[in-house]
Amino acid sequence: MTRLLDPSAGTLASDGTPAGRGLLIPCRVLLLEDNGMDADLVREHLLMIDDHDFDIQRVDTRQSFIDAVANGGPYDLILSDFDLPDFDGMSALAIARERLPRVPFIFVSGMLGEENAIEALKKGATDYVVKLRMERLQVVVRRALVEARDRNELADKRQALAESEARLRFALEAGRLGSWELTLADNRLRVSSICAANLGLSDPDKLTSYDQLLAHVHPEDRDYQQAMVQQAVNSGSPLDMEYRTIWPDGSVHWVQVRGRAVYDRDGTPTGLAGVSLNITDRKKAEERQLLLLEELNHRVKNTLAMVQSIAKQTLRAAPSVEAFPDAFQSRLRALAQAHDLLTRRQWQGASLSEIAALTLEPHVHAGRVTVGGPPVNLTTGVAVSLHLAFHELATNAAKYGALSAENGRVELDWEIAKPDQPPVRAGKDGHAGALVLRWRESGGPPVVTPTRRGFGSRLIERGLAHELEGDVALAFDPAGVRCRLVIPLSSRVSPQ
Amino acid sequence: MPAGDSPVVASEPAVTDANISDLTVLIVEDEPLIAMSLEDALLDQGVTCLGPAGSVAAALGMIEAGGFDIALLDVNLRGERVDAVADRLAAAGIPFIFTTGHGAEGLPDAHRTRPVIGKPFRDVDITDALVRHRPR
Repeated sequence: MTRLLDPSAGTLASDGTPAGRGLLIPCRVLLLEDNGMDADLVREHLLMIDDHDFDIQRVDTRQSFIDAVANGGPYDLILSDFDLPDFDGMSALAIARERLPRVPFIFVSGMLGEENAIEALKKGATDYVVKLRMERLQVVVRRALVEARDRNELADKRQALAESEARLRFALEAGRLGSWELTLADNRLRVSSICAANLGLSDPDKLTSYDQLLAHVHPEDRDYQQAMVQQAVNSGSPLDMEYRTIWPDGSVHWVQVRGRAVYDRDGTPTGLAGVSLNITDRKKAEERQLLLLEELNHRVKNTLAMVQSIAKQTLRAAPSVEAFPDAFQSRLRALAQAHDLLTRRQWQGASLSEIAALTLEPHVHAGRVTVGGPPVNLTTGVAVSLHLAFHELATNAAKYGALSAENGRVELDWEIAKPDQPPVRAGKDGHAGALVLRWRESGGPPVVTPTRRGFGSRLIERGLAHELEGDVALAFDPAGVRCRLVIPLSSRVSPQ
Repeated sequence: MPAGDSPVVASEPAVTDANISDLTVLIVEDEPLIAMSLEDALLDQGVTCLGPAGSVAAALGMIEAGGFDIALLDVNLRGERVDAVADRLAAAGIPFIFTTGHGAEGLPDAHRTRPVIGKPFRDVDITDALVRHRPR
């Protein structure tokens, strides 16, 4: 368990003095005195002082004094003779002032002329006692100790305050929190550098009034800002608002401001104070989130409409009700596969070879399927449509065509044709050339032209041709199904 | 819920018995599967279909060419809003019906009062809307 309190520490009464019987104030004394009798005399007088428990360490040489002081004591009091065989009191004083500036230093000397006394006090001695009037020692020591305690307490508080302020400042800066203070009587504003930076200002002194602040608030948010401030002043409830600011460069940023009104003893509001935080990144993320949700909703609805369409058309073309589930599920699976691939590509599109591999992967065995062509980028819509079209061709080939026979083969290849090459019409987007894609089956059973066009034929001949604004030729050649797509190059279908 | 007894709450009475086989409809839709589904629904009613136009440019071209009575208009074609297409149709006095997977907030501002069919839709939603909004 963590010990937060030292159990040996004495308890203090509410007035700060040691409480209870027998609790004495410990007082460690460094006594610089070469004469043993004088030292005993000092000791006797010290012990006559009430409420203190004196622990006296005596030194009698220069070096022992320096060692004692250098070791940091810690002492609560230094008593020093003025004349020593190898040392003098003034030097001892100088050393003590440097090493232990907060410890009272009192000369106790047989003779101390007026000049020496004045000089000693000037150099920082607390007081002096001549040995002929040793009874003064009690009064002098007691007063010096009380004064030192008061002085040290004040210094400790000041230091604690400074440290606390430094910690607060560090925390504010680390948290990128600006601080501000508004005086209501004159609408004067004081802001920290971070608070100014949150408004795009490098100098906090440029923001000294509430009106100046308002000028940096987005015009559409000014009424809201003022209403919120007014409400916080009137009601005393915490202020918490988010508004836009326009920086000097014209850019728009979001700040969050929290604060609370300050009141005088009569309950009259005198000001407001609080913190400010730049939340532009968070706001942008929230906006992105909303856009994504909207986009997701759109995509889900669109996908449902596609699934509905696949269901309807599969049902129409199905030779029997029993044939429906397999055909429908296989098409749904193809749609899901395309979505998987596009998700892996962060919905940034896909390459034609990826799509071809995805479609034909279940059929690539024993080298009966060959796929090849230069790199071509497809947008998401085109990728899905082509995948569904390839899926129809591949399924047909596996059921009735080349892939239904042992030695049948499928070749899927493509090339980029120059604008002036024969299969290419002048595209609407200019003469950018075209992607020419060929599906060729061979080695399968003789192909019979179907009596009516199924879903696949329709998707390829009508849907794909329209969507890609290209030419589609689907031929049920007795030697094998052939399909040729000529798609004008565009931003949707582009060579890498 | 047992099949056949699900309550169907229709906000407006169905009017599918009206004949719309004299209509020619322009389909503006970029998703081929959905366009095909629309075509099927319309062809079943004897409606003549034009399109589908899958881009704003293609749709504007088909409006230029004319020859249709009413249009079904997807609000977004390959990431492009169809405001320009709606404006052109409105200017030509040709009625149109939006089809959308977005809510009403996705509609072009100038055409928020136009009829909307949400995706996915039933065939009867399409034919009803055509009966209701066909030119008189």
